[in-house]
Amino acid sequence: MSAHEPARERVRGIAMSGLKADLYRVLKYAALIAWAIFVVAPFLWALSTSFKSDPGVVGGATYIPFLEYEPTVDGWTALFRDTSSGGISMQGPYLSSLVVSLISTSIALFLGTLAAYGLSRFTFRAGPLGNNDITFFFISQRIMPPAVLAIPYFLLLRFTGLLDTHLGLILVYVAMLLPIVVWVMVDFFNTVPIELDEAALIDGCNPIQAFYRIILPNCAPGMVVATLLCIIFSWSDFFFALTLTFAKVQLLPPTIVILNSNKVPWWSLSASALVSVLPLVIIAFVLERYLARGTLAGVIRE
Amino acid sequence: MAEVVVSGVFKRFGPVAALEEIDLTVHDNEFVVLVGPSGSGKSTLLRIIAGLERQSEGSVAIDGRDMAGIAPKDRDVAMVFQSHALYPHMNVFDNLAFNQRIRGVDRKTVDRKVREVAERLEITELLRRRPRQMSGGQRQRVAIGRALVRDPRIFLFDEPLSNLDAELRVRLRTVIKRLHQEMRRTSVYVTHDQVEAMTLADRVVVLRDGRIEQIGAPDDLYERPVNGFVAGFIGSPAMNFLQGTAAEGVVRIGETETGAAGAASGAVIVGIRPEDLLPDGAADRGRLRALVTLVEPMGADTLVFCTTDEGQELTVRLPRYTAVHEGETLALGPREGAVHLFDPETGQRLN
Ligand SMILES: Nc1ncnc2c1ncn2[C@@H]1O[C@H](COP(=O)(O)OP(=O)(O)OP(=O)(O)O)[C@@H](O)[C@H]1O
Ligand SMILES: [Mg+2]
Repeated sequence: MSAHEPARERVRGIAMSGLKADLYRVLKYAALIAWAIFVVAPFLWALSTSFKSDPGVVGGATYIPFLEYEPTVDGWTALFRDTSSGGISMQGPYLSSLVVSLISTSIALFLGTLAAYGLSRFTFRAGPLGNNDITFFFISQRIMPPAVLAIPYFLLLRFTGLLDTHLGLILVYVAMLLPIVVWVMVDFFNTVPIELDEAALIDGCNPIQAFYRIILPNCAPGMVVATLLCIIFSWSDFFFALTLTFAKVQLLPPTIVILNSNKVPWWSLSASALVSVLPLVIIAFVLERYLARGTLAGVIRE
Repeated sequence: MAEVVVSGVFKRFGPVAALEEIDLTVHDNEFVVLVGPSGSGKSTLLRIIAGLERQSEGSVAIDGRDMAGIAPKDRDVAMVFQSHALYPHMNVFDNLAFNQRIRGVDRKTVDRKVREVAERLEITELLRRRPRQMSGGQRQRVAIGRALVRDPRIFLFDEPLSNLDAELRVRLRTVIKRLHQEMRRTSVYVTHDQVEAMTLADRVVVLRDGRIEQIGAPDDLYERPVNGFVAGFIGSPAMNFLQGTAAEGVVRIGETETGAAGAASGAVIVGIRPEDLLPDGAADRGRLRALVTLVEPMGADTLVFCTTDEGQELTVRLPRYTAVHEGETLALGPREGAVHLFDPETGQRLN
């Protein structure tokens, strides 16, 4: 490896004279910094707002605590206070959201990886339809916009008595998540050569063991991607949570949005927004290192 | 003890017939090599023995027990793949140990077996590496090791060396041959490299288009190929094929008498191996006049490419110190008894 480095540097040196290379670097970092500000600024603003109270907001924009406004933790404590004492009592919806999103993600991952493995490894025939058609059938579920699906789902859940229940919402989420999992995982399974399955079968595995001891570990990056997509969708879904649950079950996104309805408590809103992205941030950090692919480099020889 | 009996096996993939009426018995401790051109059905036959593929017709029995419906894991066979198929997420030790672990062998025994095999294949320093951190040759050694650790009834190899460079291929070929001499396990080895076939095999099976053309010891195939296909496939450089005629008990190429015709008469294909064409003085039959067009010194011997007066191409293998130059004309005669005659229509052997 290291033996190649100087040569590569030299090639780059020839391609780009010193001055040009410097300019390139400056532009690159300028662009990255601009993007970072663009992404991070809303969070900083939300953070700062969450410590404000009325005077800090009505008089126009203020930014710097202690100088421009008097910081208070009222916005944060309101998250956990009862509605009767001016709070929004966020624990309940938070827990509901967590449960619904984790369960629906787990179910979708379990069923989706099995389905994707089957589609990647076996040939199915249903009349004139084959594997690709079945895969497309899965993905086609996501072609329709949620707004079109909401009313059928509503009627379906009412008919089965699952309206406004955790289970009903979980089922709907699983239906929405399965296509994503299948789509991502079929691609990953297809990159794993079938010889690995066969070697495992000859080595003493039954097909199930071959799947979870040999094939699945080699698709870990795919599982990570699928998990992330599932959690992001189910955690931040607003539309179905709003239309399919309303009284007994309350989920986080509608709860936060409903804060907007009467007098807007900007500080609590900001604080709850920050708290609600927290799980996603944690998951992103935990899973980050798995996102780098390359486990398969040794499988296929050139 | 392990004997494989394949009888009346057919394999069809939709309209494609991959194997047709295969009958083959691999005896206990025998090393059988399957050769044939690409697409001739070698891998398919091997995979049917392994249980990875199910035959359309016919049966496979190991030690007298019919293998129908028996999963690969219960056949006690080990297989080495062309693409090594090592488990990328495990290091070498775990790759070697995987089979034993999944069969519930205790830790100490697994450890001992893995170390023994690693020592034997000289891969002990690699035990902590992942497959992707090794060279192609090292990976294939590990793949062979993975089969050895199991001490199975039968070894199956599907072109284990064909992704390696020439030098490595020769080295690992010797490793495999040694292992077989020590362990004497029933083995079926697929290759399209006929040198591998000749050097490793107790018996060679030549396949073409899903049919067995000939089964025999390497020398038998070399000395008495049953048809033109086997004659041309076995041997490198390939046998020379010349148009000839047989009449009154002798074979002629052009005006030159080259040997006894036996019962053959009419047009024949005359097959002569490159080393069986002898220049002036050494041959005891009539001479073919041939113009030398190219000389390739190979070290141990020299390959000479010529064109006969009738315009037919010849390859001749001469001893190292023969002085031959391009543009020269040679008078060549076949070695006594080394002339093969084939039917121009059916390709079958005539003498
Ligand atoms: N899964 C499959 N589906 C359809 N046809 C197949 C399949 N596997 C093999 N075949 C066909 O069966 C025939 C024999 O294939 P096989 O792989 O046994 O050949 P081979 O002798 O091993 O060739 P090679 O030297 O290229 O490996 C070929 O015509 C091939 O196209
Ligand atoms: Mg093959």
